[in-house]
Amino acid sequence: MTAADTKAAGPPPVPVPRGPEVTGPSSPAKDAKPRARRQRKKGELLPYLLILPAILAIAAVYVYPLIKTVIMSFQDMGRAALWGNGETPWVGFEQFTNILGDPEFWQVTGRTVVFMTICVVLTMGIGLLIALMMLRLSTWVRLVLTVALIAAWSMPLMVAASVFRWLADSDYGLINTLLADLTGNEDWLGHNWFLDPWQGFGIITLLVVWGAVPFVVITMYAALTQVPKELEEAASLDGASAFGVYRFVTWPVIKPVFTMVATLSVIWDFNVFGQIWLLRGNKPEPEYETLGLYSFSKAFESTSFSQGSAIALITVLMLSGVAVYYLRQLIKTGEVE
Amino acid sequence: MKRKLIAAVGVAAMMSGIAACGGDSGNASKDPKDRSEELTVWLMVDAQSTWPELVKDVNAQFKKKYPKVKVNVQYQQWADKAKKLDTALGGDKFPDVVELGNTETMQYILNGALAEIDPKKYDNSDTWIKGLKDTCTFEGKQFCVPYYAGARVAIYNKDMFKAGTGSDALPQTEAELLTALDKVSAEYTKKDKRFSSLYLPGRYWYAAMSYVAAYGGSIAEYDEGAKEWKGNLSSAESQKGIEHFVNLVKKYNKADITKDEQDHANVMANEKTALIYGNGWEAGSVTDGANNGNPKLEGKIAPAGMPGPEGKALPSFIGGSDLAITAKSEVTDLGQEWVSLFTSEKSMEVLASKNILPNNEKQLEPLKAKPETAAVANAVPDAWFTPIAPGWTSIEKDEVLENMLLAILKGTSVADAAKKADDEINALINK
Repeated sequence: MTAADTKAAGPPPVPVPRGPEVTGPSSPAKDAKPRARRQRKKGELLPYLLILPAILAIAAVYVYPLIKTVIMSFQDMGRAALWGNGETPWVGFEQFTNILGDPEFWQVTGRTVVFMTICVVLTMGIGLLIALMMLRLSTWVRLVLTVALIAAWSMPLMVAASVFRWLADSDYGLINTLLADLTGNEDWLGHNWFLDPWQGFGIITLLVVWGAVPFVVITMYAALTQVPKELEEAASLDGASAFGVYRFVTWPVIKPVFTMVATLSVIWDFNVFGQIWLLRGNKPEPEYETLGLYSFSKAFESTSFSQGSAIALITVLMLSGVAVYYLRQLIKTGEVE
Repeated sequence: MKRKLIAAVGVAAMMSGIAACGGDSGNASKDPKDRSEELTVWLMVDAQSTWPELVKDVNAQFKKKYPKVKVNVQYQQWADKAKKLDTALGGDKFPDVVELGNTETMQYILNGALAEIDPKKYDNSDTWIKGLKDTCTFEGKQFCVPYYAGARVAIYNKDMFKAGTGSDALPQTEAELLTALDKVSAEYTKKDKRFSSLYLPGRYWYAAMSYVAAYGGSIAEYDEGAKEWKGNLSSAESQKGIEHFVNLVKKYNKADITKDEQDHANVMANEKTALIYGNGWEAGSVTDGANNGNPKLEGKIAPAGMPGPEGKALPSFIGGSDLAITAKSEVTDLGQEWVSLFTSEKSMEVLASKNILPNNEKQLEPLKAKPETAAVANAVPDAWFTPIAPGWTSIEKDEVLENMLLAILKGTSVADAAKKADDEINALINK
């Protein structure tokens, strides 16, 4: 529509002071709003109709099971009940009080938190350092590095876990052979990395961090390229040290992205399951249980599905604080309006 | 991840409610030629890898009688079968016939998952091997059909023993065996420090419990007075057995002592050990080129009775499989018919020809004299068995015994580890 059309349709605009570049056409656009809104109304349902199948699918896959999980955690469901050969008794909050009163649960929770913290710190630290390094690399080295990172990122968990498991195998593993060759100490041959949970978690952390770093590097590198070069130059001309430039110019620009990636890492690393499960050959010892594995073993190994659901729900509650923080960050940076 | 799994169980549970309405009971009286249902059979991979022709043959016989019934055989892995079955039974895609390890049956029977069967409909049911039959029996009723048996024996490399001791026979007493192992060890560790004269992994609880049984101990005992099962690993006899096993592991196993027995045939095929304690048929796996074995060892690997403490043979765990028809199945009669064909005398003949122990004493007898199977067949009468208790599967799934052994190998005292295991057993075994 032209400016003339709208002018004819609506009353003459009220003259308001405005900037020099905002002239004529902007004000008719303002007047046209009611009409445009009316037009949109016709098609308003369409986007919802289009998204409906997806919403239904998500509801079927997530909402129903979630409700079922909540219900189950207030019952005492065993095999007989699962197979329809018995009643499922309601037990109120008994599952929750049992779990919260169980020292093993708190031990597992503590282990999960420590493991998560170490993984997140390492992932974010290493990721940021590599991203900073990428800024200074020549184009082709950076390309090769990016390809390598994406290759590592796209490797399926099963494959990656098998590779790490073989690397750390006590009888035939490469790590032991290398250590024996480097130190000249034959005792490394046959060293069992998973006998001591600290060492075992060391290997698991390696796998988790190795798998998570590529995403951090690529995101942080993208953020770093958004830092205005002229600001950095100005700062160094003003006599700021390299660290000063980073601290006062670079960091404030990348901070929102960093916080968000870190928050995501917290959620991911809190829920690590596959890595531990696969590295321990589908049979994690009790000292390797994090909350996810603990809930799984309660539900499926001890066949107390209700206890498993209750632990899962407690974990969700624990993480919901982190999730809220993440959403706030998203809103703050304006990605959600 | 776990939320999704639990959710899957939740969804499965919902669907079972819907499926339960669709039953049709009028089919059993129909003419076999007109039956057109589907029969789903879950067998373990062993059937697929070792006796596939038997499955094929039985399906052909079945087809003759029921030309329109579709038999759908699905092969399962031992590692995740139980979890898969639990979930499937909660849903509407459950098997009609299922193979169960004989330590697994009781929990399914007690939870009403298996249909009662009439032993008279099966060949040789009057001489079924007792260890197997007992696992299918509850309050005098029969809930599954013994399928095959297995017992663990010594499997050794004749050449290695000859090089070490001058004789290619396995010594008959444990004292002689240990001396021989020392000699074999001295001979082979010269070249390879990581050579184990006896490869006995630390998590191998079947072996550990054989030593417990040798000293008169047991995993758990039934208390008639209290009417419940109680862990018995901290009894003096059991502790002696555990100690004996752990000492053997520490002294003779030079490989990773924290593994389980999964790949011991492979270790032997790679000539990293002279002796393993395995299932009778694993002697074949060692030399089977198609199965990661080493054909060069053909003729050099032999089974023999495993000498145990106090001058006696080591009591072997009697393992094996049972076949059951699920209680939820809508075609129980077809399932029973299929199982009866699959466990007929003729079918058992096929298993026996492959050195697998058949389900009955009558057909077991000739195997006691056959060199390849003598050691295993003769081990059956003295064999020990896991407690036939409701919560036994949970104890296996929770790895109470493996974790106890591992703790001892890491330095916990036998008494403390056994006490802890007993507590865990007591918490699980009666449920």
